[in-house]
Amino acid sequence: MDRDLVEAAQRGDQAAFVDLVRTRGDRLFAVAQRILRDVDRAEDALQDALVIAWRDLRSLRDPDRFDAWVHRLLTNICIEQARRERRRVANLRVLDVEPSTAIDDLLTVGDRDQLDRAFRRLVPEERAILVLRFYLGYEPTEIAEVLGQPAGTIRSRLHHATRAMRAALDADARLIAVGGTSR
Amino acid sequence: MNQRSDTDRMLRHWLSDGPATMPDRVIEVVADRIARQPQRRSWRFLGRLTMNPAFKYGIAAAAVLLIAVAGYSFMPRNASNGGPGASPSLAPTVAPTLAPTPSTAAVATTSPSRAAVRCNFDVVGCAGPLTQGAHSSAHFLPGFSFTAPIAWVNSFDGQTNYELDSGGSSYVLVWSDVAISQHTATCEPLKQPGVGNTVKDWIDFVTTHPGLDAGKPVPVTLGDGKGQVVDLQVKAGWTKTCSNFPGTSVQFIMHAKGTDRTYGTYGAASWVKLRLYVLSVAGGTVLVEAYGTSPQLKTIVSSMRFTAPR
Repeated sequence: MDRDLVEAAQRGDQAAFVDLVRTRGDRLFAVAQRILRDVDRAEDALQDALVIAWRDLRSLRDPDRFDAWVHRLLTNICIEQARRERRRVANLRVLDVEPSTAIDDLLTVGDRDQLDRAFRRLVPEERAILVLRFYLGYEPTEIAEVLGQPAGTIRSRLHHATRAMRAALDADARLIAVGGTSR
Repeated sequence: MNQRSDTDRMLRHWLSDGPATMPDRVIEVVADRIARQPQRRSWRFLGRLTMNPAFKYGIAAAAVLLIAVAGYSFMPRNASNGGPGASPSLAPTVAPTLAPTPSTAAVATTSPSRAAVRCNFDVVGCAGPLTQGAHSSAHFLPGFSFTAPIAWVNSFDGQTNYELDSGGSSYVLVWSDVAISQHTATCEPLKQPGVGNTVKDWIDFVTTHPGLDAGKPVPVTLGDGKGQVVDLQVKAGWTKTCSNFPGTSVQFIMHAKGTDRTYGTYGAASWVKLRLYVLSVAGGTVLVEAYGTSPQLKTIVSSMRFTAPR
């Protein structure tokens, strides 16, 4: 049982903690990559979050809340890292990592590029909200718990972020409609 | 894609595309890093829930709920010297353990060097990493001296609590102004009714506690401190918990004075074996607890010499 693993890790069992990481690592990494849009920085953020989780694991009151707790740690580290990155790169465009070249019936390559650009323009908290909502499927109340903000604030920011992403695609569509291209 | 549902669907689709496998090296790096990263103990600031507002902004010492965490026990070779027996050692480090939570106060007056050291609960006043050799408490009352092995850290030195850490999972915690606490599900520090505070009261309480397995108490003398030492462990069938700590535990220590309710309660988690020294010093009761596997615990505790105020 995972609860047993968490409790063993709380008693200092490093192997148990590594087992917990193995079974959750992919999902955590995916979350970090989607917030940060960079696999290297996602890897760094995940490592930091896991080491902090290990260090502070004994402060976790309910072992059944381990997953939510680790997601919270990771999300907050990603937000902080994204803030630093925004300050550092200012207006420089961040290099795409593993850009998708797939074209499917829902999103074109142009759509994806526009979404990526729009996503990077969002403040880090809004990026995290979108990922928690649309990748992990969290409800606003759950996102509120992760980010430590009121649910009403989360709904408002979710609305703003979603609208910003929608606007990016609409702008792209308008360009195409008048005979141009989005790039 | 003009409707909200389309936008939601689009975002789900877009976010689902991307790397979804953690690189193998993350496991290796994390395993390596946690091997060098001691876990923090479960320090709690229960007092924030109950303290008088006058104490909110840091007037006394640090507010804590201490729940013991450690691994393996140690057995006495010579209880009259107060020392735990030898057991496998953990690699010590010189890094002090710093609590993540904010402090409630600085500890009394500190020397310039001590003022620069961040202690548990982010307060100041402790000595930090200790040189090998003789040391004394600076703020703890009653004062005491001891001999520190190499690489140990004084991570807290307040008037009623003093702590020495190996940097790993071994530590010595000294308490004054103590009272026997009830075990409460909320970790609320409530005095055990009808129980006194002498060495005998303490020993009688812990040796008859339904949640504790206790060894045979043995007389001990540490300078002017005279009392008994006993080994304790939570019984396997004990089911009570404290909401601030995972798993079962037994809480039985708190500070006696009302103002020191901010210190919360202290106890032993289910996997802990601890050695508890209960000493009478100048009419007051002092507790010394030793946890962990380091054989250096014996050196430290057996060298402690409490000094009654003259």
